[in-house]
Amino acid sequence: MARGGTYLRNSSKLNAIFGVGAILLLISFVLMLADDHIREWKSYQREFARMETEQAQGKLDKAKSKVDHHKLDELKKDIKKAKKELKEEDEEVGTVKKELKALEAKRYKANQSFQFARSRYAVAKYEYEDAKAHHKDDKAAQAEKVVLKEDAIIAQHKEDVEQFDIEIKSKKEELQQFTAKKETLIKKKEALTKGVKRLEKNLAKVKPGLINWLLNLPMLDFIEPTRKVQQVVVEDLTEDYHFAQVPRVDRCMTCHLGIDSNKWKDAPQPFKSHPKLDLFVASDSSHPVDKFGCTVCHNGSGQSITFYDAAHTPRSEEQKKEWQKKYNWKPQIYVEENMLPANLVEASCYQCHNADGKKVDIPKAPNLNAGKELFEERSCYACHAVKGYENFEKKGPDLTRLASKTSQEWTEKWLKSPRTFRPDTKMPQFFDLSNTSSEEDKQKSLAEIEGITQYLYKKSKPFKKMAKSMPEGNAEKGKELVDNRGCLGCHSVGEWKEPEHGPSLNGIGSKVEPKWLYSWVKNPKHYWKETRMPSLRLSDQEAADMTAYLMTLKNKEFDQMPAPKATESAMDKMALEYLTSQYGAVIGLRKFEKMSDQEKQVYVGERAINHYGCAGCHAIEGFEKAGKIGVELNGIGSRNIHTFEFGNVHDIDHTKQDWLQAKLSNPRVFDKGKIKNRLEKSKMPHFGFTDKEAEQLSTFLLGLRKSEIPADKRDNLDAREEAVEKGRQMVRDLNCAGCHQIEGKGGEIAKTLPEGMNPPPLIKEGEKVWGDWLHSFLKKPSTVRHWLDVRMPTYGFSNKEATALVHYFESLDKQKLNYRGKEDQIPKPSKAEWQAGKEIFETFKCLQCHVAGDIGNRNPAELAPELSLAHDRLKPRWVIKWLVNPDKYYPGTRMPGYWPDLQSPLPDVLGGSAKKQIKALRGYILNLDLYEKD
Amino acid sequence: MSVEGFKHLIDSFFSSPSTVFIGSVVGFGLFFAFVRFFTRPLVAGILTAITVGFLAFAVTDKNFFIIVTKPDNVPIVGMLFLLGFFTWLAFRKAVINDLRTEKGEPIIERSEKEEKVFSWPDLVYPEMICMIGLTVLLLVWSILLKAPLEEPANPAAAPNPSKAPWYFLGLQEMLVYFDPWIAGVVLPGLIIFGLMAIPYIDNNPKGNGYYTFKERKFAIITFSFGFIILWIVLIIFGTFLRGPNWNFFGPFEYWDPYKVESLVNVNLSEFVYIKWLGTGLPKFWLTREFLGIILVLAYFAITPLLLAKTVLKKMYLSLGLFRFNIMVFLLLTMMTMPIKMVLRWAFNLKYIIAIPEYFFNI
Repeated sequence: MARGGTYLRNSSKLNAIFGVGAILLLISFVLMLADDHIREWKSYQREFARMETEQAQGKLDKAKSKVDHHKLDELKKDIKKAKKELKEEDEEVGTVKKELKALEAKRYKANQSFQFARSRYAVAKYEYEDAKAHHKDDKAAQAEKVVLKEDAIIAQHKEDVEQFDIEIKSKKEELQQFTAKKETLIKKKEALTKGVKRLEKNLAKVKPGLINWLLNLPMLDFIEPTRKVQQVVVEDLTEDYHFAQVPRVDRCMTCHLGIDSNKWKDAPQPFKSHPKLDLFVASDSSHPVDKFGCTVCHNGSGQSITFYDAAHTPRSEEQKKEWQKKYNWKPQIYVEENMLPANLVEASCYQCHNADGKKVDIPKAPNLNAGKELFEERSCYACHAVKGYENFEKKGPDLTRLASKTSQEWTEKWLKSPRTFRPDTKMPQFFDLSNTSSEEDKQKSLAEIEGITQYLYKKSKPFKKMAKSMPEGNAEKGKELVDNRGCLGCHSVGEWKEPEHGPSLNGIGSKVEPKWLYSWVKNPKHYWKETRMPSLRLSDQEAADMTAYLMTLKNKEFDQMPAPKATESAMDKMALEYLTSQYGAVIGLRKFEKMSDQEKQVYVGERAINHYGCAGCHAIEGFEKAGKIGVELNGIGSRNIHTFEFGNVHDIDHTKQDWLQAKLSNPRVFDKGKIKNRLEKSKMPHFGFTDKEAEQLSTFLLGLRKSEIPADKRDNLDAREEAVEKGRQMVRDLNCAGCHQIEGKGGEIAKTLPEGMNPPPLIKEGEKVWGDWLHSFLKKPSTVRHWLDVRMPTYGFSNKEATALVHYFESLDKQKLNYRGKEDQIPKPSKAEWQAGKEIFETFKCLQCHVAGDIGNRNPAELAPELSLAHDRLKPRWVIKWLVNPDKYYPGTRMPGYWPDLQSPLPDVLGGSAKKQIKALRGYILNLDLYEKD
Repeated sequence: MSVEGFKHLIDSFFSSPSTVFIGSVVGFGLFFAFVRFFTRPLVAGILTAITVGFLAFAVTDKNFFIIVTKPDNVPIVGMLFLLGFFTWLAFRKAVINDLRTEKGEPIIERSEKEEKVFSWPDLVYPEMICMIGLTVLLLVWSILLKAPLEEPANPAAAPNPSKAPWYFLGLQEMLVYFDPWIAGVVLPGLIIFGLMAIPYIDNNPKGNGYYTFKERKFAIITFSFGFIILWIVLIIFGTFLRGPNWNFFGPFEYWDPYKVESLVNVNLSEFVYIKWLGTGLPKFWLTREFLGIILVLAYFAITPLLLAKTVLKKMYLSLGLFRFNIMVFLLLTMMTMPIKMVLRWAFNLKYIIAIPEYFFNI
């Protein structure tokens, strides 16, 4: 200012600007610090610390209230008294203490000299050995002297130290006598308050104090903050960064703070415990968090530490709305895999547990399993390639001899609307869907339907029915047979709606030819070699009765439906369209002009069968080598979201799960508002999935991922497990569980039968029966339970199939396959033993229920299994277990247990030993005729 | 007119690169034709007010808002205003100087030259204040806008649109009209080479150390064309108007990745042999591309000659043969871009010379 006025600029104005600038700088600096310091996750950690403190405080208060205060006060008084007493003896104690201190000082000195001598000794020893090794004898002799000298010194000092130790010990004991009383009292007090002390320590650990506060301050929090990002690094479950596989870093527990402890089951999110700690996260579960992390199952961005960046996905519309309000939520577009919503998270199980598609069910993943079963049941694999499903059979009926089975009219009506005939059919709807609902498209659909039918009937091969001498049937008897023989294990009829395996029998009379049906129930494989339907070994009369009954089951609504009729112009259009797509417009037209009406129909049919992939499910003449027409689904779960076309569907989020849900609910939905010619339109048929089913199927599809899981983290099947899974697949395909309870599931047919007339539950079957017996039984069933009306059907198993089933049951019960060890030899009892067995057998009146060869004229309803088969059928070790405790094997069995708690009711037989008696009875049962002739 | 109608009008006006580009060129021409009018503070103020007003109106639109407020694009918006301001400032000073010279007064710089000020506080103090101000700006900016980080790069799923850094968007735009080897190698190389060559070509001593337009018209217009039209306008194209699949979108239009544009382009040889002669393309490339080759050669060989004889006669005399040829070559190369653009829009012309056999297309 000294030379004021000579400056170009006004200084005070500059000062003012500078001042304002400096203040702004300060403010923005503080803002910067605040912006850096204030993090979403910190607020969660603060809140969690508060909750922890609260919980610890609660526990502490509870523990404190439990302490016996009266006793504590008394102890405190006693301690005071003891201290007083101690003071009175002060002088004496003082001398002892002084002496003890002096002794300890001496010992310290002696010990020090000992240590010095020892190190001198070590040096001398080294020098001696070194000199000796290099043949420097003079030096060695000199060193040897030192060694000897130091050795003596060491010995001396050691002795001194030990001497002092003894003296110190006795002095301490002397001192102890004075203080003993006080110390025991103090110990008692500590014992009384031990729990409280521990909890106090816990509390101090979690309670935010001044030091914590300081450590978490901005700029100081680089030292050792209590609030910090928590993470696990999983080296072998890598994340795919396209150019590199990098170890997975999951930081979810930065906010999900209570995830690994069951203390927080009822806490609000994000602090809640994992709902399945027995399976996940906890260190003693099968998927501990430090080995698996979080995102390998949940997806999302594991490294992110804000709600939005982590790519959370809501599980429902309500949650979505809540999140939008609370977090301004939307799908994260910069994360490749947004988190799976909680209802679909089971999809992730499949990437490790699929065992290349060999696994039938994944444990504890009900949604995924349901989806997988739907995938198989609705034959998705017929059009879409998926690993593990390469060799699955065609599930739809063989159409190569259709003409002998049903009428053209029925076929056309069925194609137009399968669900009108059979509401629960697995055949999907192909025509008149959302993208083919215009009048023109409906006409074209009729043309295709007619074409397909014409093709099928023209190519239909002759079928020689087994109905040359078909007797007159009795419908009433037929109904009884259908109800009792076991048909209802697979087929629903009337009110019985449980089975979903075979087609419903309702309305069958509107569909098939009676003679064809007669031939079919007699032996289904005669018409269709690969059918899963077994033969019930019906007599001619039985088959005729059944046929008579089934033919009375009509579907009136369907019968009254007018037969679809295509107009000529629609047929021409369709033919021309197919011809153009196949040959081009010019040649197409030339061919079209040469075609007769009949040829057009058959041509349209052939092309339509090809177009819609009918041959994926049905055997059709001329389509033996047809491939899969759908998109390959391997890896669909990890396919980039941009490869899913949403078209003009704007009311769903652009996520894979929403796309799948929409597609499965209405396969043609993404054609909405698009101009396409008929053959370009999406052609996936409508399966009528419910929302729940679509969700389950989505779960399975999202599980089909391309992921790099190392072998040791995958669920690899050993030979035994593989046999089990193979068997489970057969059990599912053949619907064994329709009649039998297997692995605790199924046996629904029991509901249709009188009590006790149900097929036996197969409990520990592998442990119970011999493999070779089971093998022959499966191939050619024989009667074990005379009282049953329901029959084990003949499936026509090949040796390989029967063996696979036998191995399944044996593997399931951890039996050795094809091996009879010494312990499995059928025991040959001595004559005395055998007779004892016979005596027991007769005493217990086993034959009152059981049968041994001849039923006589007894009421089959009261009978128990055939015992003449026991020798070949039952495993001896099982018989023992069974006799000891039948109820344990078959809860509710009529077989009584005669030796409860191994106490014998027969004191006179075999010295009253229950064990001996059981063995003797087994010996008899398994060798009924052994000494009979003697 | 309703707001939507106005937006639709703007969108349809902006709906093709040709309109925007030609509009810019016309504006550019008008500016230089009436430079004294446009540099008046009032006029500049009104133009600024219109621009700001438009921007204020436009950000109320959802689609425009998304584009403009992208953390990547915010600095570009700022840059446009800065560019406008500094261009105006330079021309304002130049116009004033020109006026003074006309009146026989000394230019401003001369009078300023005689004044002397103290480095403290007149220089250093304001510098420090600027420093503080800029620091505040950067801090607040970094707090308000997060770094635009995206997902890990995935070669199987390129982002749509895939855009170069904003300063290279002009180059990326050239890829629409030229093969990569020209747009990505030859032209950028020539830009650098050309900029380096300017001091050696330019022998006009005027305008040294002071602002003037009148005394360096050719140099200033040429440079401004290259910088403003061929660089800045193309950056605006690339940033605000090029959307998914590099399709052209109006500023209020939704960037629909499924928008379809018809792109049917034809080579010059196809014009000649199919459209005009109707004989079908000859197999041998030299016969086929005969006309194109001649045209390109003529463009680079005959135009300088014509220019030297006609409009640039004076310059030819002053520069001499060698410098003149280099200057004209650079100028012609620069003009290939607008020429090619116009040909594309007018005739759907793809290549003038198309020899895919040797990966040589112009």
